[in-house]
Parts: sequence; structure tokens; C-alpha cells
Amino acid sequence: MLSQLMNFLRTCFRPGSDRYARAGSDGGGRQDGLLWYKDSGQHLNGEFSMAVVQANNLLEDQSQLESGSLSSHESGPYGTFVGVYDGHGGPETSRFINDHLFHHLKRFTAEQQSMSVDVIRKAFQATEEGFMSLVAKQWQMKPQIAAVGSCCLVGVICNGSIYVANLGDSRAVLGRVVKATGEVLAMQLSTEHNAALESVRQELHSLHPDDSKIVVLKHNVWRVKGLIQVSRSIGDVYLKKAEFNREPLYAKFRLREPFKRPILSSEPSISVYQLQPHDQFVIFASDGLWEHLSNQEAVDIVQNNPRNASARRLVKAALQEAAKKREMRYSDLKKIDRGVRRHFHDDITVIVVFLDSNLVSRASSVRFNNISVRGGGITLPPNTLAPCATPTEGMRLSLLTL
Amino acid sequence: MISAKRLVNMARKWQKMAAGKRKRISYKRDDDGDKYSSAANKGHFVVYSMDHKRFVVPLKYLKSNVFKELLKWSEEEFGLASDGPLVLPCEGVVLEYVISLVEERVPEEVEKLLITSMATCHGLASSSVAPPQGHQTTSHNSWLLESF
Repeated sequence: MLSQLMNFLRTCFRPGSDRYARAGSDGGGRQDGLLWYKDSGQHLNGEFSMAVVQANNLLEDQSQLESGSLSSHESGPYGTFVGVYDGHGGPETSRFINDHLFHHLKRFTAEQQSMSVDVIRKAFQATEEGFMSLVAKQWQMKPQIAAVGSCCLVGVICNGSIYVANLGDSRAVLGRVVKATGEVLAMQLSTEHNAALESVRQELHSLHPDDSKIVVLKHNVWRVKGLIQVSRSIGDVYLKKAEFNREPLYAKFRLREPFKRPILSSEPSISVYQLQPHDQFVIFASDGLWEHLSNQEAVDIVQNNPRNASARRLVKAALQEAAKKREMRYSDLKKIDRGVRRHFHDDITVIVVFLDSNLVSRASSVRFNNISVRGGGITLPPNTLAPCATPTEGMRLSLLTL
Repeated sequence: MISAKRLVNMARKWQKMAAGKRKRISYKRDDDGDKYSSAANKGHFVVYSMDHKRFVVPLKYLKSNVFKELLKWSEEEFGLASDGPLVLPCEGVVLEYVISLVEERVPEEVEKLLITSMATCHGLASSSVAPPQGHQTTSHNSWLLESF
């Protein structure tokens, strides 16, 4: 049974041509209980390291690193794409983003023949629209899909610049060396949309001046309409279109008053930075990491240790901190099953992308064998995604629990 | 099918045993008031009751249905907080009783009854119509049985 499954998977994942040979050898992380990791890999502009720890019964965090052509045309531009998608209410939205956002981005890059803020904004928009049509299709059979959503953090390194686009509360933090002292400084590249921030609450009040209860404090946590901590996301259609905020959706998600304007936004905050020679690395992570480590703590851990296994080291540091807060031992925390584990920490995804200044500055037209890594256990060349898309969905789950 | 009367009798029996045990159980609540004392012993985790009583509980209890229910209610009540210890939405006396029942590995029927009776308690708590403080702390055992 197992060997049949493995054979099937091998057939699915076998690189389609020599062009993907690298993806085959570079792929495959390791699974250790609820932890998945890929300690080291090579992207177009340097090394990278990835790690994911599952806490939810179904992993809600999804993530990917794609390096090579950022366009559906062979002509490039070339670069590295990183995505961290922290789902809530279920894994459907984050999986949908993982399966569609990068393809949309490549399509728009090809259309415009370059990378730009506009390309990224359009890719986000197309993904949101795609998920909305999925909800409309499934609404009758599976109304709870309307209450599933995801944060969406994207980084694109191309032409010596880094583009950072964000919806929700995942975070990208740059480690920059201060020449005089040799210390590394943390610089947050992403803008967050969590109601815990005063600025986010102010924005909500200004967008909804007639609703004094647009954001509510309960048990010390600010939530939009008392329901959700983030103010921007992909999905969460029940807070964007009133037609999906009615029966048969669970009563706890239904608002008393019908709304005319969307309550949550899907407009990403996008910034562009010119990379400097002393920019060492960028840490992309879901809030599962940042609720236990400060930006500077995370950056120091990466800087003061070997590059190999950086992401796994950060996950471990966060879990140690979570264990401390729960007044228990780290070794015991690791024994708790998925599902119950969610009461001790969140799903955590970390991708550390090292920036080799020689490789960052090289022209974006330099060809590179495409690589594609998915956090949580599956690596496959992009061209095999379509024929295997349906069976691998189930396989991914069974692999996680093997 | 098992009769309601028999279930009540079973519950009474387990309750009696638990009451006897309570005087010498090792996870007995910690009233030192040191909320953030050092980590629990190996193989244990820590939970707090609503009235700030600290309990050190064997890790394997997390597999019991009763604890899974309590964690679910905790999530509904307080959300999934990450910056402090676990708090369960019931009073220390109730939690102490629940833990003693899990330790005794009560039969499935009694466990179900316990969950039902806790649900009543949880329902009261979440609708903010909790019984008067004194009543709940002095006569929780009989109150728990009354709901059977």
C-alpha cells in the first residue's frame, strides 16, 4: 500500500525535463513529528532555509519559495519569490493562494514584461477574485467556506530590489549589518493589518464612521466586529459581501446589521526597497513566530549562527518561548498532538532568504534553473502541478501524518 | 441501555472516591500565589482556573475527552491567547474535581455526564449568569450532581 503510494508520488513529482533537474535534487524537506524543515537550499540570489511546525489539526499555514523565471515567458525577468500564507478558519484559502498567486504573478509579469508594484497588486486581486468565485460555487453545499480566510505575505527579489506585499499579520524582517560595529539591525519591511495596532483601529474607524463597534476589545484582544484580528485578508468573504453573511452560515459569524461596504479589505500594502551590499538576509514568517520573538531577537539568532538550519533554529526558539509562557518544558510541548497543540502555540512558518550581494546585483536576465519548494513537505516542478493538482491535495495530508 | 438512576449512582461513587483522594493528590493546586513559578515537572503541563488556582497536570490527560472539551471552551471564552499560561473557564474547585475524575479513569458514561454537566456550567459562565460566588464554591459537588 505504502510502496504503491510512493510510486505514485514519484511518478507525479519526477521532473519533466532536464531543466528541472535541480528542482529534483534541491527538493524534499524532512519531517520530524509535526515539524517540517528544509535546512538549506540555493535560490537565484543566495541560500535559503525553511521550517514549518504544525499546531492545528489541519495545517493552516502554507508557504512557497520559487526561484528562477518570474514570468510565464522564458525571457524572464529572473528572481526569487517567497510567499507565506497564514490561514484561519480552515486551510482552504491558504492552499488556494499557494496554488494560484504565483501563477497569476507570472502571467502579469509576462504581460507587462517587467516586475512592478502593479504586477503584484494585480496578482493579489486575481487571487482574491478567484477565491470569491470558488466560494460562490461552493456556498450552497459548503457555506462555511465563506468564513475561511488567509493572511498573505509576499516578497519578490528582482533587479537588486525587494518588493514586499502584505495582507494581515505575517511579517518580513531584514537583517542589515552596521559596518562600524558589525552588529546586525532588524528592519521590518512589511506593514501589518492587525487590530492590535492603534493605526489599524484608526483606519477601521475612518472607513466605517457610522459603526462605533467596528472594532471591539474582548479578553484583552482587539477584533474587527468582535470576530477577527486582521483587517485585511484574502477570503473571509462573509465580511466582504453581505450576500454571504446570512443563513446557512453559522450564527456566530452572522452580523446583526447588513453591511453595504466590505468590512475587511483585500488591498495589500506594498513597498519596494533597493537592496544594499550590507543587507544580509530577510526573515519571512507567520505571526506564530512573531508572537514569541521580537524582530531583533530573530535577526540576532540568524546572524549569530551558521546559515544552515536558520529557519529551524528560529522555530525552536519560538517553541521554547511558548513552552516557557505555558510554564512547561520544551521537550514536553513537542509531545502534544496536533489539534490540542494549537492551545499551546500557533502554526509557525519561517523562510530565511540570504542575500549574496554578488548574486543580488547580477542582471535579472541571467537564467537559472527554476526551483519550487512548498513548506510542509512537497517539492515539485511547476509544470507538473496541473496534472497532479487534485491527487496531491490529499497526498499532502497523508504525507504529513505518516 | 443504562438507566439514569444507575448513572447517578456511578457518578456518586466516583465522586466519593475522588473526594477521598483529593487530600493526597500530587497535582493539588498550588496556592503559593507565584503565578509564573518555574516550569512544571517533566511530563506535566500547567493550567489555571478562573479564580487563579494553578494546577500541574500529567501530559497524558490532554488525550482525555474532558480536557479536550475544556480546551475548546477556553478557546470560545478567551480566544487562543499566546502570551501567558493556559486558563480554563471554570472555578478551581470544579477543575480539581474534574482532574480527580480523569485520574480515576472514569467509565465513558460518567465522562459523558461530566462533560454535559460542565457544559451547563460553561453555558452559565458564557452568558454571564454565573451562580453566586459563595454557592458555587461551597456546594459545587451537589450542584454538579443536581444537573444530572
